[in-house]
Amino acid sequence: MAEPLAKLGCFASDTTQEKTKGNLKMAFYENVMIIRPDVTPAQAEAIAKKFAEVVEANEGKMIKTENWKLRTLAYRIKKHKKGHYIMLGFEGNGNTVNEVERQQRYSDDILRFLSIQVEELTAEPSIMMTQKPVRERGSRPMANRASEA
Amino acid sequence: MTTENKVVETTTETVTTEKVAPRLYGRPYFQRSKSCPFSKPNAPKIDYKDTKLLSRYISEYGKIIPRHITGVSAKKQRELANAIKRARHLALLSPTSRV
Repeated sequence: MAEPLAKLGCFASDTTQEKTKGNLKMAFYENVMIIRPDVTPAQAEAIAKKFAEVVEANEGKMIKTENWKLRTLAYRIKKHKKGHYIMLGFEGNGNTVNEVERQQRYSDDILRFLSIQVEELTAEPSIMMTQKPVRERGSRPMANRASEA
Repeated sequence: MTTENKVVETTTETVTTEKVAPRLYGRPYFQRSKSCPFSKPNAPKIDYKDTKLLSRYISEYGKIIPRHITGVSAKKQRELANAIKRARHLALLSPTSRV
């Protein structure tokens, strides 16, 4: 039982370097943000890189960055019908998350964001990247429906 | 009940232990003999990103289906509801339709 407790880093006697910085518990977080569709895909990647740097600068460690590309939104957000989705997976503490969210709040390009704490986070692609995309309306003619898996 | 000459309007109600529930559109109210689809081994993990899985638990108008119809356990229903609400916030699911 000592191992999971040591991971929390809440004991003063804990001397693992990374985990006890600033006495805050390190945990895994997922952050998803929606960027305005007006920006180019290259700019969206640049924004993702910028936030990766923010994480690294604030006691965090990036685990994965995912670009779900331009998706149609289920409803209009600020009059936009599509948006770039970027997902960041990182290990950090409260300070990391606060700084990332603060920057997302101020940014003009980001429409929505959501941070979630997760129990475990691996570098393998999430279900958004591995799942076959649902056919969007009007993207394929009706005649080919029979051949769809 | 005391025997009286005049007609007594009240009726006696017997206490029963069986589940008495309204019938909803011809379907039974309670999902009988079905276990929670998320509590079996190799069950899918509830993820707010998995819109395909989540869309099976919302009605055609986008409302979260109650667990007495789907047979989901209480704990998993809470997880499911949270995941659906997160997906709605991120516009991965529509709050008004199944698509």
